[in-house]
Amino acid sequence: MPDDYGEYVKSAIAGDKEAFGELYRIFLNRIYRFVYYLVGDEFSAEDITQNTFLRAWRGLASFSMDSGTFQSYLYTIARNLVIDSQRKKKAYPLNGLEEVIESQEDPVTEVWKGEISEKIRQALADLDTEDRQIIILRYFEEMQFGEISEVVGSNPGAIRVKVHRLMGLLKQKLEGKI
Amino acid sequence: MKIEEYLNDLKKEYEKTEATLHLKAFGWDELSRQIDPTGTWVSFLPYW
Repeated sequence: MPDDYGEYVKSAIAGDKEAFGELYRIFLNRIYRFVYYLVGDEFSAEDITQNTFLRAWRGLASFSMDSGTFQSYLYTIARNLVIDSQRKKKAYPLNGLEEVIESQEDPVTEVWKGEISEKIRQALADLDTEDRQIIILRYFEEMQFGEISEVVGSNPGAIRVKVHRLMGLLKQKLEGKI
Repeated sequence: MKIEEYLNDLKKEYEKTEATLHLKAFGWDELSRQIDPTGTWVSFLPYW
């Protein structure tokens, strides 16, 4: 992904819709996959992804690059929409990863083939959505602790501790200790 | 193998997950209509 999207952000804040279109192009796949791995179905992931960008556009006037990255701004909106969505659908399981496995026959299914993949999949699926998103942001999106804390509304030290705890938990699950 | 290595393998697969064809093809146009219903600006075909 290009790292020089800052100019697009500045232009979009100034009202340049085409610049926002570039940001959409840059972040679409990333936001979609983040949401998809949390909610577990394409329809919801599409809907939440589109709403993420719509809210991002509408909130740009209040966004400041001094208070956080545009990336964390987007992920925060996406995360909040996922939480809202799951509150509305209380019967819907939070273990989106399991839904991904059961409902797909596309390459996503291939992800989980093999014993080790199955173990790690299950270990991640067993985490609640809040914990899973932290692992995704840290290890799949490669965010720093500070940026993750912006997304989830915590502080970097607490995120560092939580990641350490979750990694220990996953390790124990993989080793069959719990 | 360390847990980080397992996660790294998983990350490679995670990164293969892309937006649906519908979003790629029509997502921006649909969004742009919501952003600017007057349609006074030109939409574009995304280049993925």
